[in-house]
Amino acid sequence: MSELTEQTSVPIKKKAKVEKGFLAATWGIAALLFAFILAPVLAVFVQSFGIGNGGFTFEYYARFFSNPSYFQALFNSVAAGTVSTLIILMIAIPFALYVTRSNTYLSKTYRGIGLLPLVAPPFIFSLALIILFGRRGVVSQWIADFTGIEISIYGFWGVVIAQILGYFPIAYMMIESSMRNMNPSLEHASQDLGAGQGRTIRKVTLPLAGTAILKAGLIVFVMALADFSNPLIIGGGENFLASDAFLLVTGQQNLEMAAVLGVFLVLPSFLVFLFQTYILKDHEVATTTGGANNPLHPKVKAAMFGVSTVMALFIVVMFVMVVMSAFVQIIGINNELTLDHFSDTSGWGFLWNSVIVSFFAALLAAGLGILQGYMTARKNVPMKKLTEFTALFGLAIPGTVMGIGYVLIFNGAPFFLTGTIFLLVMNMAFRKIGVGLEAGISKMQQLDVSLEEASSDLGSGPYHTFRRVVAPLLTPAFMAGFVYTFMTSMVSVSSVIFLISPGTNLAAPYILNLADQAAVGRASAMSFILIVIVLACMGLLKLIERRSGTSV
Amino acid sequence: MSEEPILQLKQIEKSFGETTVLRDITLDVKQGELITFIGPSGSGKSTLLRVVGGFHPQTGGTVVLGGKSIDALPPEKRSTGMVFQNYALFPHMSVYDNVEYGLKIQKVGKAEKDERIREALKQVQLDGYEDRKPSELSGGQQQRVAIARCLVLKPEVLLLDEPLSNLDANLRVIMRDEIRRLKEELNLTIIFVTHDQEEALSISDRVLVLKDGIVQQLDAPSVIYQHPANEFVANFVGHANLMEGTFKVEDGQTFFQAKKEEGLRFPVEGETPSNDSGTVLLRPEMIERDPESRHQGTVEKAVYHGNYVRYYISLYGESLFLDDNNPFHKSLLQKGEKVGVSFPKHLHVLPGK
Ligand SMILES: Nc1ncnc2c1ncn2[C@@H]1O[C@H](COP(=O)(O)OP(=O)(O)O)[C@@H](O)[C@H]1O
Ligand SMILES: [Mg+2]
Repeated sequence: MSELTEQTSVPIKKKAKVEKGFLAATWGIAALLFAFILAPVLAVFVQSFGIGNGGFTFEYYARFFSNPSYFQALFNSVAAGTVSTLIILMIAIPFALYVTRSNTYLSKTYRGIGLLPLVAPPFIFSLALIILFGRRGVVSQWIADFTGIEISIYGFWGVVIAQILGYFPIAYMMIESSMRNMNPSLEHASQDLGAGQGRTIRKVTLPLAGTAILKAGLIVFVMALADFSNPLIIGGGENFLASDAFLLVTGQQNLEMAAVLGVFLVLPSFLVFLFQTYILKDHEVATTTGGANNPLHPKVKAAMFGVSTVMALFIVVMFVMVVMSAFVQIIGINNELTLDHFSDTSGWGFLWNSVIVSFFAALLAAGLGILQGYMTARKNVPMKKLTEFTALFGLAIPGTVMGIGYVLIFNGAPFFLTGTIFLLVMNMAFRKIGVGLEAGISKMQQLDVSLEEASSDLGSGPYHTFRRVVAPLLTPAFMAGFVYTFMTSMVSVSSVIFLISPGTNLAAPYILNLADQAAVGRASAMSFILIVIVLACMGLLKLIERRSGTSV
Repeated sequence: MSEEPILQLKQIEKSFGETTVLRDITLDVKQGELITFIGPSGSGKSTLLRVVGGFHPQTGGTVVLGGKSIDALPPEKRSTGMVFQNYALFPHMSVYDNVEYGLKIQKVGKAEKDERIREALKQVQLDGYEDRKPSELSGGQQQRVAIARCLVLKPEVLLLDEPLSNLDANLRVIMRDEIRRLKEELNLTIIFVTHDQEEALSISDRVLVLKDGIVQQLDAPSVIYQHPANEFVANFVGHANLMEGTFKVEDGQTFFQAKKEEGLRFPVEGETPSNDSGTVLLRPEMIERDPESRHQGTVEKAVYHGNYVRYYISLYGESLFLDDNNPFHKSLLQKGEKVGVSFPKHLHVLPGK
């Protein structure tokens, strides 16, 4: 038989061809990803060497290291990031242990409180800290009245505290989910072998959560490093990388120096991104769900509970302060109830802008992201790896860097796009498109290929199959991606603040500006409205999750 | 059954990159015939079926359907209907919408469409379930919808990839009979993939045994079981004692003489191989318990199965196993006991290696 086989000439066919429409779509998306993610970042690099304004030069880097204020900015950003990250991890680990090991109404409430900062604009805690400890803050005055000592929260430590509160939920979320998915029988085995609970946590639980903890720490560090709004509001004039870069662009039009600062912002993000995408990905500990979690020993539990309570109270007090300050004349000074702060007509206009921009950005990000996710999972389209890489990298790039990059490319000829709604939409959409892409890929991995095969077996062409079978099944993923992008766009500041014009201002940058000018009442009122909108979106997301029966 | 083959596979080859999964497969399927592909996991059954359906273009050879080569056609242009192992029902559509799906694409008129859907659902005994979602159906019902969804398009060949493997044992037998009934009633041409040898023997007109992408045998079920082409088929379809030996004629009587042991020698009838030696097939039910026999072995192990007892015995140093059917009113032998056995007169001799 084998002889016969060798005689038959075998025409080798090429891999399955991709339909023209999908090919066109993937090229289109790739072009957009290049224009709105890669090109801006490259522009920042190029500009930092003076190309585009004179010739290639290291002059700006030399200036960066010789001018103490720039170096101070780098130092402050790194130091604040490091301190915040370490403290966040020290709180998030016991917090997550407490929440995952108790199943009480209280622990669920704590979980909600721990995640609460996600729904607020990133500078909400700076605002709250000013309300409490600012020059005319509630607590500051109280201390001054009793002791005569003037305290001020402005400066390095104010930034650190605001970062701890603001970035806590990111770390908490990641650590909690790894602890929740841990197989409880491993801990049982450890205790069965004679280890006490403390030892079990140290030798089994924490090492198993190790990857998640490392990942959380790295991500929080790069986010805090690139923190823009807290240094601006509560930094008290201290130098930090992102806020200085912003001031260099808007105040001095010194794009080259801003670009150099941008490079120092984007490099750590890029390295961490590479590290977690290519190295940590394979190190996730295989876990199984199911089975009750191991309850904590009362003493251990008391310690965890103590830490969690302090943190939860702190977060709640901050939110309460903002809400209260939205509804009284001047908090701490004139506590008369009023709705005056809500009658800010330009504020409402900007809020409307935010809704419009976020809506279209979410539509684009979720729609294109999921389409690309489908093609990545199912079609033999070109540049799959590159598009996925770029889209995910878009999620990791600090907003300040994107903002500078957009200014560099789109501000002048031939585009003149800064200040347009269009550019704001594109900026928000492409910073988040990675979420839709990942959602699309993972949903397609859950869907059995045989559904599409059955459709084509029944006579349906590839586009018809996509419309009638794939698209309806991707709808929950689309909705989730849409709501997520909408929510995060509503509160995002650091990138769009470079791109707004007086006519196209948005709510979050507007509030930042109010807070910066210590217009605390109006800033609080606007923040309150934003939080309500975002919370409503979260509710919608939960509803979708429940209706579709999948976790999104 | 007309004699013209409706489906022809001619020297089909299939490789995924460097690995060749199917080699030189040639097969004619007649109208109204049910052919089973059977083989161990990874032998290429699904791949061969998917070559016919158009999901994996073959790397060599030709598929001819209704007299025309369909090599260039994508799945949606082939008049084949595939029933997937997991049924692949569209979860967001009702039973009716699932069955309607293909008809809509063919733009069949409303009246005819309704009539055909009604008929197809009736054929699979699902009338009244039109508005259910797939998730509201049992496994067997989902299976029926998947079949109806194909039947309604009147495909020239129905392709089923391990369609019964997700059902429990009882339902499996019911659905097997059901498929056989549909085939007879509607004169369907069916290719059926399974790894269950009992299923293959009971449902098929012909069975194609695959191993490592190479056809081992293509024959009617009885031929496959009683006259396997080689050791692999003998062992894969049913259980087998295979014994090497020679045929000798003494005083006009032919004897089979086992190679290993002088004493294992018994008379046979019928044709013997030309070179007087070969491997004979002794199915366990062909060897009988016979206290009178001069072949007395020792029980090594006895396994009770209900309708039969399987005895593993040693006989002149050879290990054999036999099935003692209908064990009612017979004493169960224990390990170490003596057992007399007698051998059949008509033997199948495997072709020489
Ligand atoms: N899409 C594919 N890519 C690469 N190899 C494949 C693919 N599909 C099947 N194979 C390989 O082809 C061989 C036969 O597979 P399959 O036809 O599914 O076997 P069976 O259905 O008999 O269990 C296996 O070795 C399998 O790994
Ligand atoms: Mg298979």
